[in-house]
Order: sequence, then C-alpha cells, then structure tokens
Amino acid sequence: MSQEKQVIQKEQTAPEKIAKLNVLIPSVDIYENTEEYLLYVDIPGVNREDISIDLDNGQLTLTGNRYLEQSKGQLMEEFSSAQFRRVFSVPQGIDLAKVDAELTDGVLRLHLPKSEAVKPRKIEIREG
Amino acid sequence: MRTRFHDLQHLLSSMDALQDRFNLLAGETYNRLPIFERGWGIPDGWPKMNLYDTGEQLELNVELPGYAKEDINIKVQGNYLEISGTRKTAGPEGYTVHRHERENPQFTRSMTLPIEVDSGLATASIKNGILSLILPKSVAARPQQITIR
Repeated sequence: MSQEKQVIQKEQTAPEKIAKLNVLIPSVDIYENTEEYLLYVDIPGVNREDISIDLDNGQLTLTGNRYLEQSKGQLMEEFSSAQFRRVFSVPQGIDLAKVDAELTDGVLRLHLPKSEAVKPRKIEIREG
Repeated sequence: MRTRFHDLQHLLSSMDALQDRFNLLAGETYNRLPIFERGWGIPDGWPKMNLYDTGEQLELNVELPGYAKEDINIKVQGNYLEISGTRKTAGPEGYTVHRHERENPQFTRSMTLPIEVDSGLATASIKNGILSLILPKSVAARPQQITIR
C-alpha cells in the first residue's frame, strides 16, 4: 500500500502530465464503394466542437473528447469523461478537399471520397 | 503446528510483496493504456449507466450511440426500471464491409432502483447518444424537513 501512495505522489509532481482523460478506443464500422470510404464511429457524449479529425501523411487521426459534469451523490458510475481516439492508415487516392463528416445521435459518419484517378473507369472502344 | 503455520504465513507474505509489485506496475500504466470499447457497453453488451442521487430525484445517464429517441423504450414501475432499444446496424446499401465492430443491434437492461420513484413525473431526453433520465422520488422517499416546535 505504501508503494502505491508513492506512485500517486510522483504523478502529481511530474511536469509532463499531458493526457488527463482516459483514452478509449471507439467501435468503428468501415464501408467502401466505388465512390468513397465511409466510417461509422460510436462516440456517445461527445459534442461536435470537441471532435478533431486530422489527415496527415496517410494517417487519419480521430479524436473526440467527452466532458461529463461531475454530479454529487453517485450511486453507480460506469462511464466518465474520456477521450475517444483512433488512428487509421488511409490508402492513397483520397480527395482531401471533399472529406465530409456528420454527427448524429453520438455516431460520427465520416465520408472519404476517392479521387477521380482511382475510381473505376469504363473505357469505351472506338470504331477504328 | 504453530511452526508450520508460521511457515505458511512467511510464504504468503512473499506473495504479498509480489502482489505489491504488480500493483505498482498496474498503477503506473493503468491510466495510460487505452481501453477497447468492446461492443460499446460493458462486457455483456449492455449499455453503460451512471446513476446519481440528488436528494429530490434520481438522475440516470445511459450511453446509447446511434439510437434515436423512437428506438428506445423505458419502463418504470415503483422501483423497477427497464430500458430496451433496437438500432439499425446494417450499413448503407451498396457498400462493401471492411470492418464491423458496432454490434449489439438490440439490448434490454433492467435494474431495481434503490429508492421508489414517481413514474408519472419521470422525464427523459437524449443528446449526442447519451440518454438522461430524471426520476423524481416518490413523496414517501423524499427527504423531509422537520421543524422543531
């Protein structure tokens, strides 16, 4: 027990204490069709302004912070403030300008449209 | 017999020391490890719940991502509470599925509340996938101020 206390003290004095929120990995569905990739991410309790989506160097980083008010008189607590974070490797040929996201009922829908170059194309045969 | 017992205790004390070591390790890393939200709920696939007692009423918050308000049913009777719901998990049409982690198309979770509530005055709202339920306590269960004559 005494050792455990020591650890807690150390954490308080550590200067590089950055991540305060517990990190959770959200559940994700990934779909694809000829036009785009589509991601469904479960992030209950996250407000729209607390979500950040970064696409950099082929890596898509999705972060959503959930802040819950601390209420008094808790009888049962199974979830709390947390950070949802997940990183994906994105294939080449995503049209960055058209990436679109929407949030409904705690589910984030992320559309990653494919650029024209990678879309399947039918080649017409001319008469020679 | 006494010496043997002493031996056993000696053995256990070294086990305790080992346990302390593990606790030390776990304490350091526990908060930094990401937790995989398996099926968004607690291991049995139920939605997670927070329950607070604010004196006059009980406040219940439930994690329900992807559920619209018409997908959820709430039943309250006395101190019995049941929440059930169904959500569409089938993806959009015409898409190939690469990954499918968001399962649990339906759930039912019931519990006995610690205090009787007045079901007629209960209100519920849902925002960003979190259902909040306000359950005012029944008159008999409310705190009463007693004046001294």
